[in-house]
Amino acid sequence: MPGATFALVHATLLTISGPALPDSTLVVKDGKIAQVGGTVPGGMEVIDAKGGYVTPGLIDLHSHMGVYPWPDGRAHGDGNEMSTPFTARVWAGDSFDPEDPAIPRARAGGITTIQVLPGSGNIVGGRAAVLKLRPSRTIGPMVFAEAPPAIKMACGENPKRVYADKTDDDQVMSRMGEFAMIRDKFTEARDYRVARAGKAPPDWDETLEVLADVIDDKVRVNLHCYRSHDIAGWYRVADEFGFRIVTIHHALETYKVRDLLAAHGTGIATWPDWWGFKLESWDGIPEGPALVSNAGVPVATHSDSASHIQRFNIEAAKMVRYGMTEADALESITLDPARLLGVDKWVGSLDVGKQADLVLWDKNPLDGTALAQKTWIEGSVVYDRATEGVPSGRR
Amino acid sequence: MAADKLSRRQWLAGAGAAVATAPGTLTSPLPPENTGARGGLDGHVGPVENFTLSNARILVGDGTEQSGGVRVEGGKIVDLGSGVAGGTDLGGAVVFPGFFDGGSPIGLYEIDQEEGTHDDSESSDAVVPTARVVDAYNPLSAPIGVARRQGVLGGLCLPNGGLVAGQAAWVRFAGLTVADATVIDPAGLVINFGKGGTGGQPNAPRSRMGVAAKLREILDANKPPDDPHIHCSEDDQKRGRCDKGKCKVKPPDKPPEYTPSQRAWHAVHRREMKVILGANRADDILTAIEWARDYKLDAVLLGCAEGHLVARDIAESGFTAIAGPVSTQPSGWDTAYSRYDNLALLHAAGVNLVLRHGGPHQLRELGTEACLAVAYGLPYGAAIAAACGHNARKAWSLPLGKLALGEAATLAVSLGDPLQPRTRMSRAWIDGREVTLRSRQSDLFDRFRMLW
Repeated sequence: MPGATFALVHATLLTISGPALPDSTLVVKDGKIAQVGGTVPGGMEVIDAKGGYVTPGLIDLHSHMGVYPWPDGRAHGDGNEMSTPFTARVWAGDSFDPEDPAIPRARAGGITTIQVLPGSGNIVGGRAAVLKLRPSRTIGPMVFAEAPPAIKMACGENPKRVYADKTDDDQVMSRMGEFAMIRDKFTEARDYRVARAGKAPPDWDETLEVLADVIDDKVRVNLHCYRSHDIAGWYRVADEFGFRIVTIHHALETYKVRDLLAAHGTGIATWPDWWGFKLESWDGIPEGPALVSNAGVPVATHSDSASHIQRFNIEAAKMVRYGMTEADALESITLDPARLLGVDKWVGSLDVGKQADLVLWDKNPLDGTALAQKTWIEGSVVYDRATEGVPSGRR
Repeated sequence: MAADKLSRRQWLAGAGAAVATAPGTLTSPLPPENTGARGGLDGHVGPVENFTLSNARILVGDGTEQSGGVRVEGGKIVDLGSGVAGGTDLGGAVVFPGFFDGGSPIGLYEIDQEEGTHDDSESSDAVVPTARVVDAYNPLSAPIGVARRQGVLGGLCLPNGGLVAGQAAWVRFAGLTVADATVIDPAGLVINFGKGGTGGQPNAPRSRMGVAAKLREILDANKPPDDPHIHCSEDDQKRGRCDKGKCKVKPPDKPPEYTPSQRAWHAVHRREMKVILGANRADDILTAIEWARDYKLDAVLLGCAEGHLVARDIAESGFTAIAGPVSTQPSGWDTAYSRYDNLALLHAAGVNLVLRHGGPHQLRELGTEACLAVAYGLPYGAAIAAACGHNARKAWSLPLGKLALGEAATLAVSLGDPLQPRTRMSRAWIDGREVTLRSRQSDLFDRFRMLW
């Protein structure tokens, strides 16, 4: 946003990439962070943030806002294209409703970037939409232009449940059936990839195009997966076909195989404490994220919930209860998700040159009574508690 | 900076593989409660013991605070406050009554998506006034130990689903049998207003009008035998069609035999059994209040997501309101006007509040719910009184929720403000017996703390 230029003074800057800076100055010029610390340059709007804390805008890489907008209803369930188990051709952005009242609520919680994912009913559910939460009537201005393409995959109970009742080739009833299907499809994609590079390219197939791009490491894989043995199975497939799983989502049993994740350069997106809603989540433990983090694996806190996303700082605070350091917990809602989305060059920390996506908190955001007072995206105020309070959640 | 941190920052360059953790070498920050005493299946670490805790910040439960210690003998608190020294020095940690949840189906199911574990909803009919949660409650259910670990020491166990869902019970989170765990049974008959009362069960109403009509029909048809108007409907009485002097009810030749269902409704009429009225939309709350008043019932409200819109009516009814979760933000049509400051507004209107979380697996976050209410204006002491059982004592005579002389020694020790989401618990006692803070989850943690 050209022209967005100001200085925040006397705030504690939680830079994420470095130590916290008490009573410091942050300068924004033309929507970018121009200075961290130091003295205020002359001729600039100054905002006194005495007593407050500034963090980068929070990033949630697992959201279904806009594809399951409020209020819940049959007509609003647009997140799962469960017509066939492989729908790499669909894009979550085509379902996305920018009028979802959950979105202003998320901004009021300090969220500035989300990855909107298709649901997990399919083995390959479709492509993700990485968005900045700018107020907008259409999705266009919200798209995070620099974000690399990403795709949602899933395994285990969900596809099994969805496709057990089919009567055609799409039917699958067991985990071995799922993995057989996955191998069949990636074999097709591998052959397609060879053919498309040859002299007689095959007929265009959008799904195979995307999966061939996955093998070429041009599309980042977000895998919904809970159980350790499913994770090991996916690594067998990924190693066989030569693609990389960038992020395992939910990931409740990753603590059991955290060495595998570290070896494969995979990160996780997870909750601090969800468990027990299905058998796949029965072994989720709240120390899991800390164990995985200590193994050298990036850990992002995710919400997967239009409700929890409003209190993302509290989700990070819970991580601290179960053994994560405060620095890592803050990183799990800022820089780690930025890395996993491939946008850490632009957002995720308070560093000169990054986009000025910022949150001003009234106290340390790991305090459960802290509230975001102001949220900026690229230097523009997108939320102000003093004038907006808590935005209405109704339509 | 530790080497593993550096490698984390460089992981995109593939350096993650370089630090792949060798089996058996991983160290981790170890939550202290995991070193705590392992209990029996009943959750108890040992028998009733006499003990003293000192050098603590004491949250009494009613919203007040003291500093000093607590001395327990024979399962009761015998001394409290600045004069208590010796015993275990808590080094400034917090002693509080523990958290008590205002309503969830804990103990009635293990896993949401595994129907084979479900006993929370007796959906054979929309009206099951004789169904009792104590007949389904499993004191060894895994979520109980998980909740206890965060200082949640009991709660109101509620049946789910239907118009009249069954009889709730107050339970403590210890004991091998239901009898050990039960504090009050029945705690009330759960009745769902609004969309919650319409459903797929046989005989279920399909609309809000049906909910109200059916509940009036049931109450009219099941008056206790000592009511001279047993054959007169409430409507007749209201419209003056019933003249008490002329109302001729012949005494029966022999005492009538009543079905268990009728006896349950008689108990409701006679205020021997409370009604717990689930309602979230503002008009549903008013419908529930009006219905309970018309029949002069002993009622408690449950849910109240839009309670702030009718806070004055709730306060005037005198009914305790079980509210929450605070975090239920408007995902559905019944809660469109829910607000974070709902509890603060209800409290300001003079409503007696009991906080609930809801689902059994996240019951441990009751303190976080209270913290959120504080963030949005509920005074800290009021939040403690709502989350720690004290306010529930105004509706039920519960032996918990208050640290005072003569009270049962049910309490927890928190390593910091118990409402803050970063805070861990260190120990807890129920009726003077220490309970373990270990759970199925800490066993898993121990098993995978080192890779093998």
